[in-house]
Amino acid sequence: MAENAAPGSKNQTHLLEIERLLKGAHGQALVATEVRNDELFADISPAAVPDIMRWLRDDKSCRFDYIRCLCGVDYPDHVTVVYHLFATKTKSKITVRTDVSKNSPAVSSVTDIWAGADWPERETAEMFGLVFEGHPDPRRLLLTDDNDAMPLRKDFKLDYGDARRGVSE
Amino acid sequence: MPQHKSTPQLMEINLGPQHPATHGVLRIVLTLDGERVVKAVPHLGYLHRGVEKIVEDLEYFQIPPILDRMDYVANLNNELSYVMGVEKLAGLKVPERAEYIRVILLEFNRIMSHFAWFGPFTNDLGLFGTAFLYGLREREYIQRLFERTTGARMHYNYFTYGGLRHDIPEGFVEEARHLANRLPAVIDEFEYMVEENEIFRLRTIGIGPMDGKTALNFGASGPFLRASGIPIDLRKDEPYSVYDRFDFKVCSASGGDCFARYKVRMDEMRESVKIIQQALDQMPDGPVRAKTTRHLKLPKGEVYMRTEHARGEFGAYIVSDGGVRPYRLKLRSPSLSNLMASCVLLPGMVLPDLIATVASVDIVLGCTDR
Amino acid sequence: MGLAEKYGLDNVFITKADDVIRMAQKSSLWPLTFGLACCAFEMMNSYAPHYDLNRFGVLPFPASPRQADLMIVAGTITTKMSPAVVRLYEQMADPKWVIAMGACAVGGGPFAHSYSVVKGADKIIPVDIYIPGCPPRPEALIDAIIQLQKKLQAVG
Repeated sequence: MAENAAPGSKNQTHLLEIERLLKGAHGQALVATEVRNDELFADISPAAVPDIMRWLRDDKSCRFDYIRCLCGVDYPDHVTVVYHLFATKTKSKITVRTDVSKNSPAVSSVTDIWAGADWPERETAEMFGLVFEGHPDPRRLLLTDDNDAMPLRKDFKLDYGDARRGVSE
Repeated sequence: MPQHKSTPQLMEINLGPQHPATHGVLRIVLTLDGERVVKAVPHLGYLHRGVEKIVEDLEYFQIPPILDRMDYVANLNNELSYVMGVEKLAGLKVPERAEYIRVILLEFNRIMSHFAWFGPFTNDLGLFGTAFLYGLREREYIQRLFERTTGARMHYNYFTYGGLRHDIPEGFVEEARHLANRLPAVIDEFEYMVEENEIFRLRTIGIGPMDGKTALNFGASGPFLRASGIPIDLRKDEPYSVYDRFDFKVCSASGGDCFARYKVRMDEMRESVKIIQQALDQMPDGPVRAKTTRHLKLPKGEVYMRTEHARGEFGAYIVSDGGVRPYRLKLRSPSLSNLMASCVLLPGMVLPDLIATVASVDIVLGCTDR
Repeated sequence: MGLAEKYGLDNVFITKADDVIRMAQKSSLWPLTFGLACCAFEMMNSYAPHYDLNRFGVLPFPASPRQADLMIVAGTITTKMSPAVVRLYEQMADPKWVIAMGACAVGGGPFAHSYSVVKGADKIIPVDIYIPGCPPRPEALIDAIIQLQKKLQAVG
C-alpha cells in the first residue's frame, strides 16, 4: 500500500524536519515524538495544547490547516485526547496526543484554531467527562441533558442481563 | 427588551426531529423574523445509539455489521475504513481479486448513495415525488445486484479483514457491466430532468455558498468540500486499495452553492462508472480472502485509517491493547463535519433556502450521531 | 321479512355501520412520514416503483401526525427521541395503528444493550403489527400492511 512509504522518502524527510522544529520550539512541553508509517506522533503536556496547536497551524513549514478527527481514549488514570491533523498543501499528517488527568479533567479548547473541533469537542466532553476550557458553546451534543454517565469511560459497563453469559473475556 | 421592540415578530420554531426535510431526525431550533432565519441552533443525538461503546464489547469480526447500520445509505464505505485499519494493524495482505471486487462494490455503493441523495434533494426543492421515484427506481437495480452478491439488501456485512466474506456469484461480472453501461444514460436523464428547470436553478444557484477556506477550517470533506473549489479526494491524494491503478478525475466545482454540490455529485457518479468499468476489465482471478483467524488478536498499537466515503472522509481510529476486542474505536463521521460547516451558513437565509442548503449537504443522521 | 324484500331491492345487504367505516379505513391508511433510521430506507423503497405500496390503498405519507392514522416506527428509538415518538403518537387522531418495523422497533435490535436505546417501540406506545428483519424487505412491510387491513376488518 502507498501508506508505507520507504524511509527517506520526501514525506518522511519533511516529517523529520517538522519533528526537529517542534523539538526546537516547544522542547520542554513534548513528552515524546516518533515518525512511523509516514506519520508524525507527538505526545504533549495538556498545558501546552493551545501554544503547540497554534504553532502547528501557523508555522510556515507545518501549516496543519485541517482537523481530521478529535477524540478521547480512556485509560485507568487519565483520558488521552487525540488530535489527527492534516496539512492540505504538503499532505503530511500528525497525531497529537495529550494525557489529561482525571482529577482535573480540563484541557484548552482548540475551536479558535480549527472551527472543525467544535462538535467533536462537545462530544468528547460529554463522553469522557472532560472540560474544554474556552469552548464557545459547551452544551451536550449527543446525550440527553440529564445523562451524566460519561459512557465511553471504561468503568461504565453496558447492561447485558443474561444475554452475554458464556462469552469469554 | 429593546432588541425585541425593533423586531417584534421573532418566532421560535422547531424544525424536526420529525420533519420530512431533515432527512432523518435532525432537529434545528429556528428563530425566525418573518421568513428570515435569525438564529439556527442544531440539536443532534436523536439517533445516538452508542455505537462506539457497543463495539468495545465485540470481537473484531463482529464489528462490520454494526458499522453497516451507521451510515445506512453507503454501508460498504463504512466497513472499508474499519477493515483496512484492522488489516494495517494486523499486517494482513488482501488478495488482489478482493481489492478489485471491493472497488467495484464501493463505487456502486457511492452511486447508490448519490441516487438516494438526489431524490430527496429535489423533493425538498419542490419537485415533489417524480425525481424521488426515479432515483429509487435506479437504486433498486443496484440494490438487487448487491443482494445477489452479498445476501442482503442493505446491511451487507461483506467486507472483512483480509478480504471478503465469500466470492462473487456467477454472472456478477456480466450484470455489473450491464448496469455500469446503462448508468451514464440514467445520470443524463436525471440531469435533463432538473438542470434546465427554471425553478431548480433559481433555488440552487447562489444559494448557501461556502468558500473553500471556511469549509476546510470546519473539517468539511467529500463532495461538499469539492464543490467549494478544493479538489481533495482521498482516492487520488492518498490512494488506498487499488485506486491508483484507475484513470479517473477528481470532480470539483467553484461557487460552493447548492448547484455546485449537485453538479459535483452528478459528475462524480460518471467517474465512478468509469472506475467500475476499468475494474471489471482488470479484475484478476484468485482467492478473495487472506488466511486469518476468526478470533483475531491485534498487536498493541493504534491506527487512524481514512477513506473517501460517499459523503467525505470517513475515518476509523482503532486503539488496540493486544486483545480480541478493540480498546477504543472512534469513527470520524463526514456528515458531522459537513453539517457543522453548513450550519454557519443558515442565519440570514430565508426558510426555503435553509431547507435547500441542509438537503444539499447530504447528511445521514445515523452517521452524525453514531 | 327482511328489509331488502320489503322494499323490493335484490342487491342490498345489511351490515353494521362500524364494518363499513372499517372497510373505508383499511383501504385508505395514511401513514405518518416518520423515518428514524435504516428501516426508513426500505419504507421509502416500498413506495418506489418496484414495490408501489399505493396499490394497497396506502396513500402518500402526510408529514403531520394530525392527518395520519398509521405510524410506521421505522428504526431505532433512542432515549432522546422517545418523548417525541410518544408525542407524535398522541397527536394522531383516533382511531390509529402502529407498525413496529424492523428489529430495533421490535426489541432494540443490535443496539438493544446500548445505554441510549429504547428496547422496542412497545415500551412506549401500543403496537399492532411487528415486522422482524434488519431491515425488513419491502415485501415484509407490504405484508404487514395487508395483515393490518385484515386485523381492521376482523375487529369491526
